[in-house]
Amino acid sequence: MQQTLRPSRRAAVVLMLVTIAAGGCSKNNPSTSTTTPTPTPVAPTTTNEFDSTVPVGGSAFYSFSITQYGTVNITLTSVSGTDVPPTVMLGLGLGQPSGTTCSTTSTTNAAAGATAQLTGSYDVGVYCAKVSDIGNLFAPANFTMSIAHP
Amino acid sequence: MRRARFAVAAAALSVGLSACGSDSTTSPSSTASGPPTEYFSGTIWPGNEASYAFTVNQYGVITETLGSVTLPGGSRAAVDATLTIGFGIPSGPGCGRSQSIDTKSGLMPQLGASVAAGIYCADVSAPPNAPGPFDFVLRIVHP
Repeated sequence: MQQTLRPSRRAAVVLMLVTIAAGGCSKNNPSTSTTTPTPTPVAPTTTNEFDSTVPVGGSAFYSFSITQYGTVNITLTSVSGTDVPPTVMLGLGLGQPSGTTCSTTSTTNAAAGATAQLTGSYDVGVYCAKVSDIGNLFAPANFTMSIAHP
Repeated sequence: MRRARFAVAAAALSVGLSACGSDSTTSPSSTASGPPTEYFSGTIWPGNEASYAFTVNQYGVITETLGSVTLPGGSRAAVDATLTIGFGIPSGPGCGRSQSIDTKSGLMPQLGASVAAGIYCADVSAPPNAPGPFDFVLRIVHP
C-alpha cells in the first residue's frame, strides 16, 4: 500500500531539505571563525620635543614614525609669548600627514601641563601631532610639545 | 506518487544549494585611469623648504616632476632657477629626505624611486642665494 504525505508534512520535509542543503555552505559558518588576540601596546621608547609657534588662527605640526604598535603620549608642556597667557587653551591633535597639513583623528583642547593631555595606541606608521589655535589667541604663541612614542 | 515526491526533494535540494552562490564575487570592471597624480604648488623663499605628504597604497614607483618655476604675482613669467626637489618620510616639522636632486623645471620626471606602501613626502627647497621667491608646481605620480 502506497503511503502518502499530507501537504503540511510534505512542506516540512521540503523546508528541512533546503535547510540541510544551505547549511552545507561553509564559508559563512561561524564555527570556523577565529579570534585574533588583542596585542598589548608597548610603552613609549622615544620622546621628541617640538618647539614652534602657533600663529593666530593657525596651527603647527610635527611628524614622527612609530616602529611598533604602542602608546603615544602627547604633552603640551609650555605656552608663552607676548599677550599670551601661559594657561591659554590650545587644540591638540594626533593624526597622519596629508598634503601640507596634519589630518587629525584624535583631538582635545588643553592648557600646558606636566601630564599627557592626549594619549592613544597606534599601529606602525607615520603620524603627526598638531597644535592649533582654537580662537583664544590674540598674538602668536610659542609652545613646547612633548611626543612620546614607540 | 513516489516519483513526484522525489522530484520535490530534488527541487528543494537544488534551491538550497543554489543559495551557496551568495558568496560569489563580481570581477571589478577595468578602468582606464592611471596612477594617482598629485600636484603640490606654492611659493618658496630662498633658504626655505616646503613639503607635501601623500599616501602610497602599494609597492611601486614614485616620480616627481618640477613642472614649473615662475615669478610670484600675476606675471607668471618662467624663470631659469634651480631648486632642490626630494622625497622621503614626514619627519619633524618637514620632510625627512632620502633622495633629492637639484633641477630646473621640465616636462620629464627628474626624480624617481621604488617604495613600499606607506606615507611619504615630497619637498621643494630653494638655496639661500636664490634670486627671490618663486612659485612652483611639483607633479607627483605614485602607486
